[in-house]
Amino acid sequence: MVNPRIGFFQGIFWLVFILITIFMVVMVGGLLFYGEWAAFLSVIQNPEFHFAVVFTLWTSLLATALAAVVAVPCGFILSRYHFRGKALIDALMDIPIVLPPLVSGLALLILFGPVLGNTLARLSLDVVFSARGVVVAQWFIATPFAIKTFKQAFDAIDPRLENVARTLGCSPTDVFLRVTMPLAKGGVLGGLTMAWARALGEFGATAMLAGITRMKTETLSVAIFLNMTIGDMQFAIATAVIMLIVALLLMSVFKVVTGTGVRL
Amino acid sequence: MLEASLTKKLWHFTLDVHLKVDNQILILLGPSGSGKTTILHLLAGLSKPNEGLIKINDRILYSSGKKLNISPQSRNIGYLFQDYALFPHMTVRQNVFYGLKSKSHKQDRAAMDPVELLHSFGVGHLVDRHPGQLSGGEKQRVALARALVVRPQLLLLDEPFSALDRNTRISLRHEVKKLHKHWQIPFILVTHDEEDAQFLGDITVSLEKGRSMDGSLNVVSCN
Repeated sequence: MVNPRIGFFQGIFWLVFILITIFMVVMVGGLLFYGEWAAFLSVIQNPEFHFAVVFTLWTSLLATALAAVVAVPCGFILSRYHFRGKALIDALMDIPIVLPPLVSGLALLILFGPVLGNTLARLSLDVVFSARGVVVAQWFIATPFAIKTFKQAFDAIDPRLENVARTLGCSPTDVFLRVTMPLAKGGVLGGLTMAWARALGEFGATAMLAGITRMKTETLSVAIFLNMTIGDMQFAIATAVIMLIVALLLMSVFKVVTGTGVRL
Repeated sequence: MLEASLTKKLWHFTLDVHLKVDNQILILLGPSGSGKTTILHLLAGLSKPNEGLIKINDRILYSSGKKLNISPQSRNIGYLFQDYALFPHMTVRQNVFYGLKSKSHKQDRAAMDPVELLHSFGVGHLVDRHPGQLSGGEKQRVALARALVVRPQLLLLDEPFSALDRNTRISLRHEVKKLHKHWQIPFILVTHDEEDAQFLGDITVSLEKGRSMDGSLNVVSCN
Protein backbone atom coordinates (compact mmCIF):
# COMPACT_ATOMS: atom_id res chain seq x y z
CA MET A 1 0.00 0.00 0.00
CA VAL A 2 1.40 3.42 -0.90
CA ASN A 3 1.22 6.04 1.79
CA PRO A 4 -1.17 8.77 0.50
CA ARG A 5 1.10 11.47 1.94
CA ILE A 6 4.04 11.68 -0.41
CA GLY A 7 7.00 13.76 0.72
CA PHE A 8 9.54 15.59 -1.44
CA PHE A 9 11.92 12.61 -1.57
CA GLN A 10 9.24 10.12 -2.68
CA GLY A 11 7.86 12.80 -5.01
CA ILE A 12 11.13 12.89 -6.97
CA PHE A 13 11.08 9.10 -7.28
CA TRP A 14 7.47 9.13 -8.48
CA LEU A 15 8.28 11.89 -11.01
CA VAL A 16 11.14 9.86 -12.52
CA PHE A 17 8.96 6.72 -12.51
CA ILE A 18 6.08 8.50 -14.29
CA LEU A 19 8.37 10.19 -16.84
CA ILE A 20 10.08 6.94 -17.85
CA THR A 21 6.69 5.21 -18.09
CA ILE A 22 5.43 7.99 -20.40
CA PHE A 23 8.62 7.72 -22.46
CA MET A 24 8.16 3.95 -22.92
CA VAL A 25 4.46 4.30 -23.77
CA VAL A 26 5.15 7.05 -26.36
CA MET A 27 7.99 5.01 -27.89
CA VAL A 28 5.88 1.86 -28.18
CA GLY A 29 2.88 3.89 -29.35
CA GLY A 30 5.01 5.57 -32.04
CA LEU A 31 6.04 2.20 -33.37
CA LEU A 32 2.47 0.90 -33.29
CA PHE A 33 0.79 3.90 -34.91
CA TYR A 34 3.45 5.16 -37.32
CA GLY A 35 2.85 2.37 -39.82
CA GLU A 36 -0.19 2.09 -42.04
CA TRP A 37 -2.71 -0.61 -41.20
CA ALA A 38 -3.21 -1.63 -44.87
CA ALA A 39 0.55 -1.95 -45.34
CA PHE A 40 0.76 -4.00 -42.17
CA LEU A 41 -1.83 -6.45 -43.49
CA SER A 42 -0.03 -6.78 -46.81
CA VAL A 43 3.30 -7.36 -45.05
CA ILE A 44 1.97 -10.20 -42.93
CA GLN A 45 0.86 -11.95 -46.17
CA ASN A 46 4.33 -11.54 -47.69
CA PRO A 47 6.25 -14.86 -48.19
CA GLU A 48 9.46 -13.21 -46.99
CA PHE A 49 7.74 -12.28 -43.74
CA HIS A 50 6.41 -15.84 -43.36
CA PHE A 51 9.90 -17.21 -43.92
CA ALA A 52 11.38 -14.85 -41.30
CA VAL A 53 8.71 -15.73 -38.72
CA VAL A 54 9.04 -19.51 -39.18
CA PHE A 55 12.85 -19.34 -39.43
CA THR A 56 13.11 -17.19 -36.27
CA LEU A 57 10.77 -19.48 -34.35
CA TRP A 58 12.56 -22.74 -35.06
CA THR A 59 16.07 -21.37 -34.75
CA SER A 60 15.35 -19.53 -31.49
CA LEU A 61 13.48 -22.49 -29.96
CA LEU A 62 16.31 -24.86 -30.91
CA ALA A 63 18.89 -22.40 -29.55
CA THR A 64 16.91 -22.11 -26.29
CA ALA A 65 16.69 -25.90 -25.92
CA LEU A 66 20.46 -26.16 -26.49
CA ALA A 67 21.02 -23.32 -24.00
CA ALA A 68 18.99 -25.25 -21.41
CA VAL A 69 21.05 -28.40 -22.01
CA VAL A 70 24.19 -26.40 -21.19
CA ALA A 71 22.74 -24.13 -18.50
CA VAL A 72 21.30 -26.84 -16.23
CA PRO A 73 24.65 -28.51 -15.40
CA CYS A 74 26.60 -25.22 -15.48
CA GLY A 75 24.10 -23.40 -13.23
CA PHE A 76 24.04 -26.37 -10.83
CA ILE A 77 27.84 -26.61 -10.59
CA LEU A 78 28.20 -22.85 -10.06
CA SER A 79 25.52 -23.01 -7.37
CA ARG A 80 26.60 -26.11 -5.45
CA TYR A 81 30.37 -26.44 -5.74
CA HIS A 82 33.27 -24.30 -4.59
CA PHE A 83 36.54 -24.69 -6.45
CA ARG A 84 39.64 -22.75 -7.33
CA GLY A 85 39.09 -20.30 -10.19
CA LYS A 86 35.28 -20.39 -9.86
CA ALA A 87 34.97 -16.57 -9.99
CA LEU A 88 37.07 -16.47 -13.15
CA ILE A 89 35.02 -19.21 -14.88
CA ASP A 90 31.80 -17.50 -13.78
CA ALA A 91 33.08 -14.25 -15.32
CA LEU A 92 34.11 -16.12 -18.49
CA MET A 93 30.58 -17.46 -18.89
CA ASP A 94 29.25 -13.90 -18.63
CA ILE A 95 31.34 -12.74 -21.60
CA PRO A 96 28.49 -12.90 -24.12
CA ILE A 97 26.45 -10.61 -21.82
CA VAL A 98 29.11 -7.91 -21.54
CA LEU A 99 30.61 -8.11 -25.03
CA PRO A 100 28.88 -6.25 -27.87
CA PRO A 101 27.11 -8.94 -29.96
CA LEU A 102 29.19 -7.93 -32.99
CA VAL A 103 32.37 -8.81 -31.10
CA SER A 104 30.85 -12.13 -29.97
CA GLY A 105 29.94 -12.75 -33.61
CA LEU A 106 33.47 -11.97 -34.73
CA ALA A 107 34.91 -14.39 -32.13
CA LEU A 108 32.47 -17.10 -33.27
CA LEU A 109 33.33 -16.39 -36.92
CA ILE A 110 37.03 -16.94 -36.19
CA LEU A 111 36.31 -20.13 -34.18
CA PHE A 112 33.99 -21.69 -36.76
CA GLY A 113 35.93 -20.27 -39.75
CA PRO A 114 39.73 -20.42 -39.68
CA VAL A 115 39.97 -22.58 -36.53
CA LEU A 116 37.33 -25.31 -36.94
CA GLY A 117 36.00 -24.52 -40.43
CA ASN A 118 37.86 -27.24 -42.41
CA THR A 119 37.07 -29.99 -39.88
CA LEU A 120 33.38 -29.02 -39.80
CA ALA A 121 33.27 -28.85 -43.62
CA ARG A 122 34.65 -32.42 -43.84
CA LEU A 123 31.84 -33.53 -41.52
CA SER A 124 29.31 -31.54 -43.59
CA LEU A 125 28.55 -29.42 -40.54
CA ASP A 126 29.36 -25.95 -41.87
CA VAL A 127 28.33 -23.25 -39.46
CA VAL A 128 29.50 -20.04 -41.13
CA PHE A 129 26.91 -18.33 -43.39
CA SER A 130 24.30 -21.04 -42.79
CA ALA A 131 21.14 -21.59 -40.76
CA ARG A 132 23.28 -23.62 -38.37
CA GLY A 133 25.27 -20.43 -37.76
CA VAL A 134 22.07 -18.61 -36.77
CA VAL A 135 21.33 -21.27 -34.13
CA VAL A 136 24.92 -21.19 -32.84
CA ALA A 137 24.91 -17.37 -32.56
CA GLN A 138 21.53 -17.32 -30.80
CA TRP A 139 22.61 -20.15 -28.48
CA PHE A 140 25.86 -18.36 -27.61
CA ILE A 141 24.11 -15.11 -26.73
CA ALA A 142 21.19 -16.75 -24.86
CA THR A 143 23.12 -19.32 -22.80
CA PRO A 144 24.67 -16.96 -20.19
CA PHE A 145 21.20 -15.60 -19.34
CA ALA A 146 19.96 -19.15 -18.79
CA ILE A 147 23.02 -20.07 -16.69
CA LYS A 148 22.58 -16.99 -14.48
CA THR A 149 18.87 -17.54 -13.83
CA PHE A 150 19.25 -21.30 -13.35
CA LYS A 151 22.08 -20.71 -10.86
CA GLN A 152 19.88 -18.31 -8.90
CA ALA A 153 17.06 -20.87 -8.93
CA PHE A 154 19.39 -23.59 -7.57
CA ASP A 155 20.85 -21.16 -5.00
CA ALA A 156 17.35 -20.61 -3.61
CA ILE A 157 16.93 -24.32 -2.75
CA ASP A 158 17.96 -25.36 0.76
CA PRO A 159 20.75 -27.97 0.26
CA ARG A 160 19.41 -29.82 3.32
CA LEU A 161 16.45 -30.93 1.20
CA GLU A 162 18.89 -32.66 -1.15
CA ASN A 163 20.82 -34.11 1.81
CA VAL A 164 17.69 -35.51 3.46
CA ALA A 165 16.70 -37.11 0.15
CA ARG A 166 20.11 -38.83 0.01
CA THR A 167 19.68 -40.23 3.53
CA LEU A 168 16.26 -41.57 2.46
CA GLY A 169 17.99 -43.81 -0.07
CA CYS A 170 17.90 -41.75 -3.26
CA SER A 171 20.77 -41.52 -5.75
CA PRO A 172 22.10 -38.06 -6.75
CA THR A 173 20.27 -38.37 -10.12
CA ASP A 174 17.02 -39.22 -8.40
CA VAL A 175 17.45 -36.34 -5.94
CA PHE A 176 18.11 -33.93 -8.80
CA LEU A 177 15.07 -35.06 -10.79
CA ARG A 178 12.61 -35.41 -7.89
CA VAL A 179 13.71 -32.66 -5.50
CA THR A 180 16.03 -30.09 -7.11
CA MET A 181 14.36 -29.64 -10.49
CA PRO A 182 10.74 -29.47 -9.24
CA LEU A 183 11.80 -26.86 -6.67
CA ALA A 184 13.78 -24.87 -9.25
CA LYS A 185 10.92 -25.09 -11.80
CA GLY A 186 9.84 -21.43 -11.53
CA GLY A 187 13.36 -20.07 -11.93
CA VAL A 188 14.17 -22.49 -14.73
CA LEU A 189 11.03 -21.54 -16.67
CA GLY A 190 11.84 -17.87 -16.13
CA GLY A 191 15.41 -18.47 -17.34
CA LEU A 192 14.15 -20.26 -20.43
CA THR A 193 11.80 -17.38 -21.20
CA MET A 194 14.66 -14.88 -20.86
CA ALA A 195 16.94 -17.04 -23.02
CA TRP A 196 14.25 -17.41 -25.69
CA ALA A 197 13.56 -13.65 -25.67
CA ARG A 198 17.28 -13.01 -26.12
CA ALA A 199 17.58 -15.56 -28.94
CA LEU A 200 14.46 -14.18 -30.64
CA GLY A 201 15.87 -10.67 -30.93
CA GLU A 202 19.50 -11.61 -31.67
CA PHE A 203 21.05 -9.69 -34.55
CA GLY A 204 24.73 -8.71 -34.17
CA ALA A 205 26.32 -12.12 -33.63
CA THR A 206 23.93 -13.71 -36.15
CA ALA A 207 24.89 -11.14 -38.80
CA MET A 208 28.62 -11.78 -38.26
CA LEU A 209 28.47 -15.59 -38.15
CA ALA A 210 25.56 -16.50 -40.42
CA GLY A 211 25.51 -13.43 -42.64
CA ILE A 212 22.56 -11.36 -43.81
CA THR A 213 21.06 -13.33 -46.67
CA ARG A 214 17.46 -12.84 -47.72
CA MET A 215 15.31 -16.00 -47.40
CA LYS A 216 18.31 -18.01 -46.15
CA THR A 217 19.52 -16.66 -42.81
CA GLU A 218 16.74 -14.09 -42.51
CA THR A 219 15.48 -13.88 -38.94
CA LEU A 220 12.94 -11.19 -38.00
CA SER A 221 15.77 -8.90 -36.79
CA VAL A 222 17.68 -9.47 -40.02
CA ALA A 223 14.47 -8.84 -41.99
CA ILE A 224 14.06 -5.43 -40.29
CA PHE A 225 17.66 -4.52 -41.10
CA LEU A 226 17.47 -5.74 -44.72
CA ASN A 227 14.25 -3.85 -45.45
CA MET A 228 15.41 -0.67 -43.72
CA THR A 229 18.53 -0.64 -45.91
CA ILE A 230 16.42 -0.73 -49.08
CA GLY A 231 13.99 1.86 -47.70
CA ASP A 232 10.98 -0.45 -47.16
CA MET A 233 9.84 1.20 -43.92
CA GLN A 234 6.42 -0.48 -43.87
CA PHE A 235 7.93 -3.98 -43.90
CA ALA A 236 10.41 -3.00 -41.18
CA ILE A 237 7.70 -1.43 -39.00
CA ALA A 238 5.31 -4.38 -39.37
CA THR A 239 8.08 -6.79 -38.40
CA ALA A 240 9.12 -4.57 -35.49
CA VAL A 241 5.50 -4.43 -34.22
CA ILE A 242 5.23 -8.22 -34.27
CA MET A 243 8.53 -8.49 -32.36
CA LEU A 244 7.40 -5.87 -29.87
CA ILE A 245 4.17 -7.75 -29.13
CA VAL A 246 6.06 -11.04 -28.73
CA ALA A 247 8.63 -9.34 -26.43
CA LEU A 248 5.91 -7.81 -24.26
CA LEU A 249 4.15 -11.17 -23.98
CA LEU A 250 7.39 -12.98 -23.13
CA MET A 251 8.41 -10.48 -20.47
CA SER A 252 4.94 -10.60 -18.89
CA VAL A 253 5.09 -14.41 -18.79
CA PHE A 254 8.59 -14.20 -17.27
CA LYS A 255 7.50 -11.81 -14.53
CA VAL A 256 4.40 -13.83 -13.67
CA VAL A 257 6.22 -17.19 -13.72
CA THR A 258 9.15 -15.99 -11.61
CA GLY A 259 7.06 -13.71 -9.40
CA THR A 260 9.50 -10.85 -10.03
CA GLY A 261 6.93 -8.39 -11.29
CA VAL A 262 3.44 -7.06 -10.76
CA ARG A 263 0.93 -9.82 -11.40
CA LEU A 264 -1.19 -9.44 -14.50
CA MET B 1 25.38 -51.14 17.68
CA LEU B 2 27.20 -48.12 16.25
CA GLU B 3 30.96 -48.01 16.32
CA ALA B 4 32.76 -44.97 14.96
CA SER B 5 36.29 -43.73 15.24
CA LEU B 6 36.85 -40.63 13.13
CA THR B 7 39.05 -37.61 12.61
CA LYS B 8 38.13 -34.66 10.49
CA LYS B 9 40.21 -31.55 10.03
CA LEU B 10 38.05 -28.45 10.10
CA TRP B 11 39.41 -24.97 9.48
CA HIS B 12 39.62 -24.01 13.17
CA PHE B 13 40.11 -27.40 14.94
CA THR B 14 40.37 -31.12 14.38
CA LEU B 15 37.37 -33.27 15.21
CA ASP B 16 38.41 -36.46 16.99
CA VAL B 17 35.53 -38.84 17.71
CA HIS B 18 35.38 -42.34 19.15
CA LEU B 19 31.90 -43.76 19.70
CA LYS B 20 30.57 -47.16 20.66
CA VAL B 21 26.85 -46.91 21.29
CA ASP B 22 24.30 -49.67 21.70
CA ASN B 23 20.57 -49.08 21.29
CA GLN B 24 20.70 -45.97 23.45
CA ILE B 25 20.18 -42.23 23.11
CA LEU B 26 23.49 -40.39 22.89
CA ILE B 27 23.24 -36.65 23.40
CA LEU B 28 25.83 -34.35 21.90
CA LEU B 29 25.57 -31.15 23.87
CA GLY B 30 27.49 -28.02 23.03
CA PRO B 31 27.48 -24.49 21.68
CA SER B 32 27.28 -23.58 17.98
CA GLY B 33 30.49 -24.36 16.12
CA SER B 34 31.56 -27.16 18.48
CA GLY B 35 31.31 -29.78 15.71
CA LYS B 36 28.02 -31.47 16.72
CA THR B 37 26.33 -31.27 13.32
CA THR B 38 29.58 -32.20 11.56
CA ILE B 39 29.62 -35.48 13.52
CA LEU B 40 26.10 -36.25 12.27
CA HIS B 41 27.13 -35.38 8.68
CA LEU B 42 30.15 -37.69 8.93
CA LEU B 43 28.03 -40.56 10.21
CA ALA B 44 25.35 -40.03 7.55
CA GLY B 45 27.95 -39.87 4.76
CA LEU B 46 27.18 -36.25 3.86
CA SER B 47 30.81 -35.34 4.68
CA LYS B 48 33.91 -37.48 4.38
CA PRO B 49 36.23 -37.96 7.38
CA ASN B 50 39.99 -37.61 6.92
CA GLU B 51 40.40 -41.07 8.38
CA GLY B 52 38.67 -43.61 10.59
CA LEU B 53 35.99 -46.28 10.64
CA ILE B 54 32.18 -46.31 10.89
CA LYS B 55 30.41 -49.59 11.54
CA ILE B 56 26.77 -50.40 12.32
CA ASN B 57 25.96 -53.96 13.43
CA ASP B 58 29.13 -55.34 11.81
CA ARG B 59 28.43 -53.59 8.51
CA ILE B 60 31.28 -51.23 7.61
CA LEU B 61 30.03 -47.93 6.21
CA TYR B 62 33.35 -46.12 6.08
CA SER B 63 36.90 -47.31 6.42
CA SER B 64 39.88 -45.20 5.44
CA GLY B 65 42.10 -48.30 5.78
CA LYS B 66 39.99 -50.32 3.32
CA LYS B 67 39.28 -47.23 1.19
CA LEU B 68 35.56 -47.85 1.60
CA ASN B 69 32.96 -45.10 1.71
CA ILE B 70 29.34 -46.18 1.38
CA SER B 71 27.19 -43.41 -0.13
CA PRO B 72 24.52 -41.74 2.07
CA GLN B 73 21.68 -43.43 0.15
CA SER B 74 23.03 -46.88 0.98
CA ARG B 75 23.88 -46.32 4.65
CA ASN B 76 20.33 -46.70 5.96
CA ILE B 77 20.74 -43.94 8.51
CA GLY B 78 17.75 -41.72 9.29
CA TYR B 79 18.43 -38.01 9.64
CA LEU B 80 16.04 -35.51 11.16
CA PHE B 81 17.29 -32.05 10.20
CA GLN B 82 16.83 -28.88 12.19
CA ASP B 83 13.61 -27.24 10.85
CA TYR B 84 12.79 -30.75 9.50
CA ALA B 85 13.57 -30.08 5.79
CA LEU B 86 10.23 -31.42 4.54
CA PHE B 87 9.94 -31.23 0.74
CA PRO B 88 7.78 -28.13 0.27
CA HIS B 89 6.48 -29.19 -3.18
CA MET B 90 5.11 -32.49 -1.87
CA THR B 91 2.18 -33.36 0.36
CA VAL B 92 2.69 -35.09 3.72
CA ARG B 93 1.87 -38.43 2.06
CA GLN B 94 4.40 -37.82 -0.76
CA ASN B 95 7.04 -36.76 1.76
CA VAL B 96 6.66 -39.97 3.74
CA PHE B 97 6.47 -42.19 0.65
CA TYR B 98 9.53 -40.49 -0.85
CA GLY B 99 12.09 -42.82 0.72
CA LEU B 100 10.10 -45.93 -0.18
CA LYS B 101 10.19 -45.01 -3.87
CA SER B 102 13.98 -45.06 -3.94
CA LYS B 103 15.69 -48.14 -5.36
CA SER B 104 17.29 -49.03 -2.05
CA HIS B 105 13.97 -49.23 -0.21
CA LYS B 106 11.52 -50.47 -2.82
CA GLN B 107 11.49 -53.92 -1.25
CA ASP B 108 10.38 -52.44 2.09
CA ARG B 109 7.09 -51.19 0.72
CA ALA B 110 5.13 -54.29 1.78
CA ALA B 111 6.66 -54.39 5.23
CA MET B 112 5.89 -50.82 6.26
CA ASP B 113 2.68 -48.84 5.93
CA PRO B 114 3.61 -45.14 5.90
CA VAL B 115 0.04 -43.97 6.45
CA GLU B 116 -0.30 -46.21 9.49
CA LEU B 117 2.98 -44.80 10.77
CA LEU B 118 1.63 -41.25 10.29
CA HIS B 119 -1.51 -42.23 12.24
CA SER B 120 0.65 -43.59 15.05
CA PHE B 121 2.34 -40.17 15.19
CA GLY B 122 -1.06 -38.46 15.34
CA VAL B 123 -0.74 -36.78 11.95
CA GLY B 124 -2.57 -39.32 9.81
CA HIS B 125 -5.34 -36.81 9.08
CA LEU B 126 -2.84 -34.41 7.46
CA VAL B 127 -1.74 -36.67 4.59
CA ASP B 128 -2.99 -34.36 1.83
CA ARG B 129 -1.58 -31.15 3.27
CA HIS B 130 1.64 -29.46 2.21
CA PRO B 131 4.38 -28.65 4.78
CA GLY B 132 3.51 -24.94 4.60
CA GLN B 133 0.11 -25.76 6.12
CA LEU B 134 1.53 -27.57 9.18
CA SER B 135 2.52 -26.34 12.64
CA GLY B 136 6.06 -26.87 13.96
CA GLY B 137 5.06 -29.93 16.01
CA GLU B 138 3.19 -31.49 13.08
CA LYS B 139 6.17 -30.92 10.81
CA GLN B 140 8.42 -32.66 13.29
CA ARG B 141 6.13 -35.68 13.53
CA VAL B 142 5.93 -35.95 9.73
CA ALA B 143 9.72 -35.63 9.45
CA LEU B 144 10.16 -38.36 12.06
CA ALA B 145 7.75 -40.64 10.20
CA ARG B 146 9.61 -39.94 6.94
CA ALA B 147 12.96 -40.79 8.54
CA LEU B 148 11.67 -43.98 10.21
CA VAL B 149 9.56 -45.39 7.38
CA VAL B 150 12.71 -46.68 5.63
CA ARG B 151 13.64 -48.64 8.79
CA PRO B 152 16.98 -46.99 9.57
CA GLN B 153 19.56 -48.71 11.75
CA LEU B 154 20.53 -45.41 13.35
CA LEU B 155 18.59 -42.18 13.79
CA LEU B 156 20.36 -38.81 13.86
CA LEU B 157 18.40 -35.86 15.23
CA ASP B 158 19.85 -32.38 14.73
CA GLU B 159 18.35 -29.89 17.21
CA PRO B 160 14.89 -31.45 16.78
CA PHE B 161 13.15 -29.15 19.27
CA SER B 162 14.83 -25.82 18.57
CA ALA B 163 12.02 -24.44 16.39
CA LEU B 164 9.23 -25.34 18.84
CA ASP B 165 7.47 -23.51 21.66
CA ARG B 166 7.98 -24.78 25.22
CA ASN B 167 4.79 -26.86 25.52
CA THR B 168 5.23 -28.61 22.18
CA ARG B 169 8.87 -29.16 23.03
CA ILE B 170 8.02 -30.94 26.29
CA SER B 171 5.37 -33.14 24.70
CA LEU B 172 7.66 -34.09 21.78
CA ARG B 173 10.50 -34.98 24.15
CA HIS B 174 8.22 -37.62 25.66
CA GLU B 175 7.31 -38.87 22.18
CA VAL B 176 10.94 -39.21 21.13
CA LYS B 177 11.68 -41.16 24.32
CA LYS B 178 8.70 -43.46 23.61
CA LEU B 179 9.74 -43.80 20.00
CA HIS B 180 13.22 -44.90 21.01
CA LYS B 181 11.84 -47.57 23.32
CA HIS B 182 9.69 -48.89 20.48
CA TRP B 183 12.31 -48.82 17.67
CA GLN B 184 15.31 -50.07 19.66
CA ILE B 185 18.02 -48.51 17.49
CA PRO B 186 20.73 -46.03 18.51
CA PHE B 187 19.63 -42.38 18.46
CA ILE B 188 22.18 -39.56 18.38
CA LEU B 189 20.61 -36.26 19.28
CA VAL B 190 22.33 -32.91 18.96
CA THR B 191 21.17 -30.09 21.20
CA HIS B 192 22.38 -27.07 23.09
CA ASP B 193 19.56 -27.38 25.63
CA GLU B 194 20.53 -29.05 28.91
CA GLU B 195 16.91 -29.91 29.76
CA ASP B 196 16.60 -31.93 26.54
CA ALA B 197 19.86 -33.66 27.36
CA GLN B 198 18.86 -34.55 30.92
CA PHE B 199 15.45 -35.85 29.95
CA LEU B 200 16.42 -37.89 26.90
CA GLY B 201 20.04 -38.87 27.21
CA ASP B 202 21.25 -42.32 28.21
CA ILE B 203 24.69 -40.86 27.63
CA THR B 204 25.43 -37.14 27.38
CA VAL B 205 28.64 -35.68 26.06
CA SER B 206 29.45 -31.98 26.25
CA LEU B 207 31.43 -30.85 23.24
CA GLU B 208 33.76 -27.96 22.72
CA LYS B 209 35.77 -27.53 19.51
CA GLY B 210 35.31 -31.14 18.44
CA ARG B 211 36.37 -32.64 21.76
CA SER B 212 34.51 -33.53 24.91
CA MET B 213 35.27 -31.46 27.97
CA ASP B 214 37.54 -34.30 29.23
CA GLY B 215 39.65 -34.77 26.11
CA SER B 216 38.90 -36.37 22.73
CA LEU B 217 35.27 -37.37 22.29
CA ASN B 218 35.39 -40.91 23.57
CA VAL B 219 32.11 -42.65 24.31
CA VAL B 220 32.02 -46.36 24.96
CA SER B 221 28.66 -47.43 26.22
CA CYS B 222 26.96 -50.77 25.79
CA ASN B 223 23.87 -52.16 27.43
